[in-house]
Amino acid sequence: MNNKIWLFITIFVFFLACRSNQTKEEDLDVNEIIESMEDIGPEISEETLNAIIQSIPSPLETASVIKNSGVDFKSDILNAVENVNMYTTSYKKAFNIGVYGGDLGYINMYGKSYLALSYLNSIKKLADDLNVGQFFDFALIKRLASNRDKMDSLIYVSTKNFNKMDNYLREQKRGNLSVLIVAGTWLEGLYIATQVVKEKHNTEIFERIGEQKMIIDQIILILSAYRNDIYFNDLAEKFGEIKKEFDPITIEYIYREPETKEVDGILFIVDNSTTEVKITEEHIRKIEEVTARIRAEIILQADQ
Amino acid sequence: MAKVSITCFFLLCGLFLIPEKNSGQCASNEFLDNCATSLGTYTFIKAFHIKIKPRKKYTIEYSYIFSKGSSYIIVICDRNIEGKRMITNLYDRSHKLVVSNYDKENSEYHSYFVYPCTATGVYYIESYFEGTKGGCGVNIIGFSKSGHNIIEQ
Repeated sequence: MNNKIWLFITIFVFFLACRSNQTKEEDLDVNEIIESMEDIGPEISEETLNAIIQSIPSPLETASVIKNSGVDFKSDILNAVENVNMYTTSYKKAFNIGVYGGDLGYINMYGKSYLALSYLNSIKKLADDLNVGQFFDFALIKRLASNRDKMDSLIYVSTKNFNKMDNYLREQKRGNLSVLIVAGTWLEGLYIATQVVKEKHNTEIFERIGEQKMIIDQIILILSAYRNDIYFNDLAEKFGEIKKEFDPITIEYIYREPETKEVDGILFIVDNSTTEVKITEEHIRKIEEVTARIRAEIILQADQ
Repeated sequence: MAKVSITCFFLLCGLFLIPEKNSGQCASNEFLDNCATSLGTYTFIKAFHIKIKPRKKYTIEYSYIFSKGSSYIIVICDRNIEGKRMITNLYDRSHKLVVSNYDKENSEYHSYFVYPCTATGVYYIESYFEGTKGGCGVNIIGFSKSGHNIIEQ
């Protein structure tokens, strides 16, 4: 009887050992990838870093304001898909996943499905190089992009894929790449908005640009979390130059008591608080100039 | 005894081989896709997965920057188990409650609410489950450039 129990324990331990070895092999691949990414730990807690990354607004929101303003779509302001081959380091790949992601938000809002597919292709290529391409279901994306009526589904699927990739990177302790994606997306969103208002004055877009003052502080904070790395340090300095142009802009918060109303038995809360952005055309011109210059320096220069 | 040993062996093996079905349910693609149908005409932005273990941390809080002029929908999706419903509250920058999916007076749960944002800034989204039993679910955020209703079933 004792022999049988020992036999069972031996088999069980052997089974566990096999599983353990298998996990180690899988971990090894991931570790190699992480090492090749020159992964570095943040100087602020991961919890804080994740909270900031999660709180940054989607590029779709600014794109929606641009679309609602009645301005025509401009494909020439986007980062060309052909540039994808210029990005050879993991950092540039991650940053430009963000840039193309910002472009994709603008493209999707205008329902340009043929362009969306090209940009998703570039994103997928860069994501594959970073071993996170598995989050893009290309068969489904192609199907949705081929049908203009499925634009909402295309936006849903591509946003979901982006979010999954971002979550995965942070879970895998590759949050530095997540930070670069967020920074790239934000910069491209700002670039598109400033290019659009160069040609047509629009108060809502002006205000939306001014509101980026709140977000650039967060972007610089997360970039600075990795400031021991020269690439991040350089990027934080470049974003600092953009921030300088936001300094004269003021955003005033006016608190007013909310009102509660009941309509047909349903509770409605009307928030009477508001924010007022004080921004001039001169502010916009300076932000546009510095954004265009910094963007070109980051995304159009080949790796050395 | 031999039969008991073999049975135990396969049961234990099973524990290691079968994925955590329950914990995976709320994080699955299918769960999110089903819940996202409640977004209606709102554009999907983000999904915050909520998983609270019993007797562990009681609430989970996320923040998000809402922009003036946009309406935001928050879809609150759980496994619809009585006594373990997910409650989600939205707070403003000063942590003042703006809206909740739980109507205390009438003891009613709403599956989503809409917030027309009038002041750009950080908003806090807090979630927890009835009682302290824990649970899992997802908060889905969508936006629209129009919209007015704050709470709907």
